[in-house]
Amino acid sequence: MGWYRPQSVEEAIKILEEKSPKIVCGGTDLFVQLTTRQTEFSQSDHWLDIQNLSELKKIERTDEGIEVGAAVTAAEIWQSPVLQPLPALQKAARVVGGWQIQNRASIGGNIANASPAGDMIVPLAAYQARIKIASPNGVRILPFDEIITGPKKTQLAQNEMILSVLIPKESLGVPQTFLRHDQRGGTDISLVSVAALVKGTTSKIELAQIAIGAAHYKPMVLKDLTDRLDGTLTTDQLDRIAEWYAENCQPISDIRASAEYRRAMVKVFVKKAITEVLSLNESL
Amino acid sequence: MDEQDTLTIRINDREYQVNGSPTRPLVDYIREELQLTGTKIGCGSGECGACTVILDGKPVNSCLIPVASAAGKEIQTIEGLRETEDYQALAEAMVETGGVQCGFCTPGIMATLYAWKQQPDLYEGSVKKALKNNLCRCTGYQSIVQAAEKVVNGEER
Repeated sequence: MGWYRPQSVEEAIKILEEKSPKIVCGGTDLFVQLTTRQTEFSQSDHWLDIQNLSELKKIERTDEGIEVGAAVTAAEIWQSPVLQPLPALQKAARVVGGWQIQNRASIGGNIANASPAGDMIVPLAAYQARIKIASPNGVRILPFDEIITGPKKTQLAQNEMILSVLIPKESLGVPQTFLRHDQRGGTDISLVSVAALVKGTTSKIELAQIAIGAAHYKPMVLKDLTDRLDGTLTTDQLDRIAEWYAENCQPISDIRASAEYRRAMVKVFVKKAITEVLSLNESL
Repeated sequence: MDEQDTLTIRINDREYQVNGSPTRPLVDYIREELQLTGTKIGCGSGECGACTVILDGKPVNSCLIPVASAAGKEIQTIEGLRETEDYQALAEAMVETGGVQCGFCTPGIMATLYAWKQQPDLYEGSVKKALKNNLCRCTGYQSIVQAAEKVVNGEER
């Protein structure tokens, strides 16, 4: 078994190519029940530990928006002054587990892990973020919507690693929120979540982007919502948006909630999120 | 590239050479190898916080961290914190308020409280929020929160 701690992305990619390791950052999901799972890890397993790569720890304002490195932790996200124009992401990062988990869980891990109940990925979907991916063949950039292909599945190849998330400047400073429905806050997992960005007032909507989480195999977004609204947001339209999400999502039934309940909550929480953001706007 | 059979790990200001499986949980290494049994194993899933240790100044769950992942980092366990002034102030307050009952969660709680004491403005100064990842099934938390607030407020926040 090899545990590799590369000093640069370049070195990491070389190891990816030569050893086909599993990539690990904070390990908060990968290593649940670590004690009892020791036998699961084979002698031939290799691990690529990317948590200390400074290139993946950046949070940077760029001309296009903000770039967040894959190894940036949830705690770093909600404490970052640079990310203050993205309150929905900061709220989602603060609701991930508790302090101990937030100190380890990374945004890249939240994407690569592709849990349908992931929190930070929901605002990323609403922002229409893009993912920067590296491999021995170079760098490619993928729209967020395309990366997750199934529950816990992504289109990342064995020799690829996430470098960063690119959040477009159009999302910065736009009134927004993230709401999560769960049974006991804290260390619970999301039953349904919503990230909503709405710019303008009910009679003059300039931008509306909404993503729901934990109700589909990946965060679900109604495409071109701003154009569909055609400038206004009546109570009727609000109802129809909420209904569209409830009808089109495909939630699962599990120990936490039934699919039927999740669907009902999608409707409630989509409306709640939009109303909350609109009330923020009115009070501006 | 860094594929070593031996890792160097720093716990309570001492360096140790770690051999064996890199995925061995840090909590097992601390308890079994170093015999520092103050750190407890509760859920093994990162939910209960009984295994909390301080890693580079931040509270983390040592049950979720393979030893190799902690290499090169500064780790403090409850045994290492014991000598600090902040720990002693917190311990005294916990005794006064009755913050310890069965005691199983206490080392984890103390580690989190110690970290929070270093930056008490975090989570809008709410110790309850800082303790979200620490479960206590005896006290109902009130006495623990009182103890923490007593120590922090004692310094005129």
